[in-house]
Amino acid sequence: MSPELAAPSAMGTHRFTAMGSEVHVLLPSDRGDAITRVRELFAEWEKTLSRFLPESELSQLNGRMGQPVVVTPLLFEAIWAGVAAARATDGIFDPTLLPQLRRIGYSDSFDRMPHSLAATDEVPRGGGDWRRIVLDRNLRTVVLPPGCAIDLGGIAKGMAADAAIGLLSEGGVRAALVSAGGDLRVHGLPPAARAWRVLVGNDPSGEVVPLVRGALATSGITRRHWLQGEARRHHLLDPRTGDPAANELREVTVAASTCEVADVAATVCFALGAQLGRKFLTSRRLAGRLTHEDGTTLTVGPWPPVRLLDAA
Amino acid sequence: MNATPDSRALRRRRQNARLALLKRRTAVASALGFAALFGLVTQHVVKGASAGTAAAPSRRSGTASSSVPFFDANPSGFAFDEGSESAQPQSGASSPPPPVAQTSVS
Repeated sequence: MSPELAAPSAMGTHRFTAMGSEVHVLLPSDRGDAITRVRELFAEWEKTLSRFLPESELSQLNGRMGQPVVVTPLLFEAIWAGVAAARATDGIFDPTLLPQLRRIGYSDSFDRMPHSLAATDEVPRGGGDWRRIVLDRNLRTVVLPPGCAIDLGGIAKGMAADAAIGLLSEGGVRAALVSAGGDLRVHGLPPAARAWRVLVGNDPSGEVVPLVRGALATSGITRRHWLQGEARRHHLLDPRTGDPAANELREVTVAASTCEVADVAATVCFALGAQLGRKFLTSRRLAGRLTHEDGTTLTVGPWPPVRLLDAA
Repeated sequence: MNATPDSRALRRRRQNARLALLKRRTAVASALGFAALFGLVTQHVVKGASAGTAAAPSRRSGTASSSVPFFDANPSGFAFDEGSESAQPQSGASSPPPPVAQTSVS
């Protein structure tokens, strides 16, 4: 069930599909023209970074392991960011888990793939191939080691949302919100409002937080899950095992300055589980909300306190 | 033929002079030897360091540098409105307006 959303006064809502997600943009009513450039940006990012499009630059690169490949600045920066995130999290965020995702059947866009698959005999293997990627910033070349394939997934979507906000800001748009899948970033404030009221997660009756600036990213397993044989699969892998993360968490939302950082932090937090995930967010001075399988929540850092309206 | 005291003294002085010369040559040879050895060692170290620089991929041609922090050191990059607490929207007259957006599960 879709939640009821309402654009702030004097702002318009724009929706389109890109990068496997619905993109939702709020713009001042007198700047609706800016949506064209946002659409073009997402189309360009998808054409370059999608692992589901065989003709995308990323797919072409994934097919050329073991040799230096000159890539576009966009692909280079996205891979650079993915490897930097992997390094910063000691590999708990891993942009090279595409072989592991294929092993569990996530080989096509989630909306197109079958959600009940035959069991596999292939043994899982952990991640870490990112450590052997060679990037040359001067030549803008990438060398993928044999067996390595990149999936930029959420971080690419987050970076696209950040780039869209940058584009709008540079274009003189005074207030905007861009939401792509689980990644949401704001710029400025809606007219006559103190914050952007954002519903967190998939539950229409869930928590609404008053975001003033920065970004939110949510990672969870309530949407992208399927059966492989009798095994329940989802897309959030634990690089230490190569299998879907198995812990008490159902959903994680993280607040950070950018979608890029929030997305990586949410992914890492989910893979680590509640206890280590909480420590991870605290050590990075981030805020977050962790939802357990039983629906109970745990907040970390300066996450706003919840006011229960019925109790008032 | 017996040596006179003068000739013995002369021979002793010559021996001392040869001994002194030998000592000086030994000292010079030792110094040169140490210098050569030091030079070789230094050259080896420099070569090793150069080779290391060329091979180290993390400076110019490597994976993303760890010197660039990925996570923000500045927590003010994001903020919530402290004056308006987060809420769980529910039906009723006191309900706040609907949210403007959603961060749905990716």
